Amino acid sequence: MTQTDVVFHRPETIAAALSILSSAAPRPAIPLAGGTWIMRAALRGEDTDKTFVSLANIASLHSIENTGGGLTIGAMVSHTALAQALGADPAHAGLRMACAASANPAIRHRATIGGNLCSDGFMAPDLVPALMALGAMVTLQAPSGERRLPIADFLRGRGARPAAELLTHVHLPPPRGTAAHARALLRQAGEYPVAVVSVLAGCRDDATCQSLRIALSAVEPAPRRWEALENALLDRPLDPEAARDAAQARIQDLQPRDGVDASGWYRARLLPQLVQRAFADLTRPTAKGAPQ
Amino acid sequence: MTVSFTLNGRARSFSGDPRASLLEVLRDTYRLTGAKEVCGEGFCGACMVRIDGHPATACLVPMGTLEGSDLRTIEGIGTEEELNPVQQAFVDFDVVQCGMCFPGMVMTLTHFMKDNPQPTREDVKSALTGNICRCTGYERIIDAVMSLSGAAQPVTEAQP
Amino acid sequence: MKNAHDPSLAVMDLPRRDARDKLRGRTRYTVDQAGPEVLHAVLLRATVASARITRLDVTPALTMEGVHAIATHGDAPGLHGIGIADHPIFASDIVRYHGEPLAVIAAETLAQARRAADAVIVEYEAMPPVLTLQAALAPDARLVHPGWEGYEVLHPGATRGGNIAWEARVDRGDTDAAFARDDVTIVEGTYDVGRQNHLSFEPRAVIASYEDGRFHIQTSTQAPWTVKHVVARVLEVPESAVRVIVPAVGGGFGLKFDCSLEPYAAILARKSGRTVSLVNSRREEMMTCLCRENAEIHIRSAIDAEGEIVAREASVLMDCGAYGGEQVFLTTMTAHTLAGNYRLGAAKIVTRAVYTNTPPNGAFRACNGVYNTFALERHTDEICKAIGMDPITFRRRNVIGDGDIGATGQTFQGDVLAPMLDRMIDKYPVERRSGRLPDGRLYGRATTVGTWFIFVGPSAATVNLNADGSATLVTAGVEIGSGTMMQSLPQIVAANLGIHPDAVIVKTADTDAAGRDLGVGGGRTTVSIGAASEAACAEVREKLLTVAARLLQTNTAALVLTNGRVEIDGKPGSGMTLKSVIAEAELTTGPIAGSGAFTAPGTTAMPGCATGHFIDAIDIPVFAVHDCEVAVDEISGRCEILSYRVVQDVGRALNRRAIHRQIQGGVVQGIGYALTEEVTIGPDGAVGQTGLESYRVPLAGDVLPIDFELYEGAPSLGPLGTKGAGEVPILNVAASLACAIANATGKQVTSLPMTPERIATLIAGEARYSVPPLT
Repeated sequence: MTQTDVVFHRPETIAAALSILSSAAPRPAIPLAGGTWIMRAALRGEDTDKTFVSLANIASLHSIENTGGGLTIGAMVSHTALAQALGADPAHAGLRMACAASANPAIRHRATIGGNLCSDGFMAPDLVPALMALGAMVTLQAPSGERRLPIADFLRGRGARPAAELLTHVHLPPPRGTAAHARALLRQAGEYPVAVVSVLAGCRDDATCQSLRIALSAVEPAPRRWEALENALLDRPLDPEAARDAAQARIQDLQPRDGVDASGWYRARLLPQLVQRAFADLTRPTAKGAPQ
Repeated sequence: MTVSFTLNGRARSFSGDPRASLLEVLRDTYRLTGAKEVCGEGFCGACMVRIDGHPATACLVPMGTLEGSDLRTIEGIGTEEELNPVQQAFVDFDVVQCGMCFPGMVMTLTHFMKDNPQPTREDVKSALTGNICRCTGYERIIDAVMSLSGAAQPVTEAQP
Repeated sequence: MKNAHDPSLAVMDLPRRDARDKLRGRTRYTVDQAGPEVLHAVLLRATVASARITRLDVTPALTMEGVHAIATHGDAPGLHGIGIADHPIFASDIVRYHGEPLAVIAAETLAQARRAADAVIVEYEAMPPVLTLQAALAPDARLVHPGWEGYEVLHPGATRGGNIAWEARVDRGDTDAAFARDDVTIVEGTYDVGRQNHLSFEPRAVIASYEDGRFHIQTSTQAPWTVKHVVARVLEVPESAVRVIVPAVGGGFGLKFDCSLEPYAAILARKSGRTVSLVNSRREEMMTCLCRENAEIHIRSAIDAEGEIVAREASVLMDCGAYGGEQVFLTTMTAHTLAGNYRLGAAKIVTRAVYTNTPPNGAFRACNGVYNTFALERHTDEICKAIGMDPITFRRRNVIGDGDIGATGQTFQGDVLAPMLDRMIDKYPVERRSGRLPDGRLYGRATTVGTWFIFVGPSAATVNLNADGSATLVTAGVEIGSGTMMQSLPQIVAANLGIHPDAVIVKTADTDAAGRDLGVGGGRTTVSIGAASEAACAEVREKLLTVAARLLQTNTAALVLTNGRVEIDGKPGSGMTLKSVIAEAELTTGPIAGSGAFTAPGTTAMPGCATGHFIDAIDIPVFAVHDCEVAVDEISGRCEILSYRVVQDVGRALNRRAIHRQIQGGVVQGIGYALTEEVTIGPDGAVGQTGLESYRVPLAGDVLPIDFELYEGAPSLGPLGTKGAGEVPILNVAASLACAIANATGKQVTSLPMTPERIATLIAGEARYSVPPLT
């Protein structure tokens, strides 16, 4: 290989990374985080002759900071690192589980939160629905400036992002409520889920539900909120069976996808049970007893 | 671009395509063939190596990210005279079959036992989520690992 | 010679000599052998399932950077096959499956070879593919091989025609009369199963060179002599011009029992004058695997008032894919796997290998036995339900026993299955077969029987006695992971020569050094190569004892070989070391060596019972009884295995730990087959599961320790009374799980694999299809 210098960059600042990503070059440049998606491009039949812009040397992307009661997580933070950094707050239980249970140990150690969010075409992420349930925001930086937007908005525009834009940070609001993350697998572990339900619920003193966010992954081509189910369960006590039945009644809201791993019919069949499992986790005494 | 790193205790520098996977380079350039290419997507664990002390599937790691890294492969574990405790347990329990997955198994489990000297069987199974074996049906591997649980000597390793 | 065949002299539970290097990453499999001097080859494969090739132009690729040689159909026009020569190694004018090789290219790097493959111009005129068994057998079906009548028949006697590549039949007794009786209950069932990918960790791989006018082929195979034969046939060169050597093989499970990549590398080696490496990518392995075939099984049985099976009719359709391959041979097996478990009054069985435009299938551990056992045992439980008899009682009274006649009329020896069943039930009495667990899941339990066999056939062995008292065993046996070459064979040779197994050197397979052998498969290595090795040892002993008798002034009958010495029987220390006898022999008669051979003894069948069969009877039957308990979640359809128990007929256990390994590994591979491993073929004829993301083999979290009992003492021709133990553990796993799931759910389980979705569909029944489509 000649001219190897031009196919791999290791910038130390976000500005330097953006400058490389925006410069005209013989081949497209892509940001490289943990590599667990990009290194499989050839298996997906994609063009692999791209310039890699490794974000590994940008220190600010590796930090997890407490900001006004919330957390600001650098895009290069791995699943494992994030699982370890999240405390015992019940609001973070879903995200913690998503970080600690997805894929397998070696992949969790390398795969990053930013990579998980930016892998367009990956239909079964765990972190994304957990972050949606938490109401997380992302910061995007481009040479023209910086913007912050909710995850759902980011996902909507993900397929047509400018090349010179980096997802640099994920922001979690101050923890409030209790979270749960339920995944359906065909084996015990070590595979992408066929359906995921991630929930964050806040309850009043009378145990009725004051706030509720329910996010799905793997069911449709991209993760989404299930607003109709949220609305149906608001102001009612957290009840796993009632949540299951409400999910069953609204299953027609969704357009579950057919895939090699499972049919849309099967994903739809699993969802009410997954919702029930997630709500059962929310109402477990250990979670309930924890501060809200 | 040249990437400099330590490989099984020796300083090395690599000046090929930095987008190449570590697995490709270990096997083709350094002819260290203990790490196997089986799935190429991080599911099977047959190419497990240690990067800065942590197990990683070499098939998913581009060379350009390895500047200054400390790499250890299966060839850097155990010596002709003295196997490491995980390897020795596999010999003692007669668990080896075709052998293609075992370098990766040894890399994963050696690291795991160092951090978890007294695991349960379920812990060991969780640790093996990313290591597939097609011959053994796993349980004999786990029997062997469990024999090391609570061993008087922590799982450290002889290195060549 | 008192101690020949004396099992008490065998060193049992010998450790593996290859373990240390395998654990240290030192073992060089074929995929590890290609150094910098080697050219890398890639196959250009068809991207359609059925087409006429209108243009194939390799000239743009020939001049590309790094390219050394390209081969196409013209370089290897010969056809090969089993039973019928129907298979060219390159598509010539017609593409018959998605992934069929069109050309092969050798270049200095893999990337260059790939780029050159992309530059080859291919134009097709598409034809609608025949993708399913039904489509292939429809009256107006397009023929996958329009010229089938012109193919050379290598094994005469079978019916063929159209898309039916081969038909094997059993006709024993008058089934029509039995079914017409008014005192019988007739039970009928139809079953279907999908394909299974071996997923051997080492893909098919080969390195070839052309030196001194001969092809030297180093390859990852189970059958070096088959490779030698097929390469010679398709290249149209004498077999003597092909040498095959085999290093450690990283898993086979039957995938490597046929010739595959070897001819391509051989052609390129001759064309380029260089050593050429060809390795399938994992994607190629997934998409062109010689899978365990998909099949459809129909069984109909007539049961009399006493619960005897007075007649059975069955038809089995096996999808051989685009070419006949192993399935042609395996049609033979139905007679024994579907009709060798139970005593039958009369039997009529038709097994057809059917051509489709799908990737060819092949051999896989206990081949068609796993699905025929699944179908038969599910059918057996349906019979029990229909006649109201306890399933253990029914099996106990009907399993094949001493003096019973098999499907093709062979006489079985010894009561084996019945006492094995007793052992299982005595150990684990049946309390219930279905129910609900406290956690709400459905509980099911089942016990099944299975009959498999040892695939004997020719083997040759040479034993050289070395000056230091060690012995070198030369055979064409291959170590594929089971440990046979590392454990059983040195154990057998050592027991015969009175030395320690560590003093037995086992030569890796090399067809230039070792005699003909059928290959490692069918559980035959310990038995066939073991028997040939025993015969070679007998000649060595004869020569050794003749010299020793002269030195010790006694006769050979008074001598025994033990602890590396020749002793006068009953007088330890009276004799001399092997070394000194060997030294004397070198001065008088020369170095001591022996050769031995073995082949199928040819157990007789009833004349006229079997047509289109490759073997009429099974020489060494092997029996298995399995039992399991499952818990099924009604919504997700997920099946958890609560317990799994095996009673296995091993003849005699030479190495209990090695057999344990095979049982644990084989049952787990069967669990994958039964529950999660699914291969689907899309409308374009391509396999949908292209890697380990979508092809789901069991992981550590999915398995459980398999409880097992080794049943010893059943009759066997094998050395020291052994039978092969590696194949049979997978035999009745799908059967047991299916019967247990059927008991748990109360549904008729008729399809494999029983993925969670398929079980959920079974439970949902009509509900799956009655809800409005989700749009």
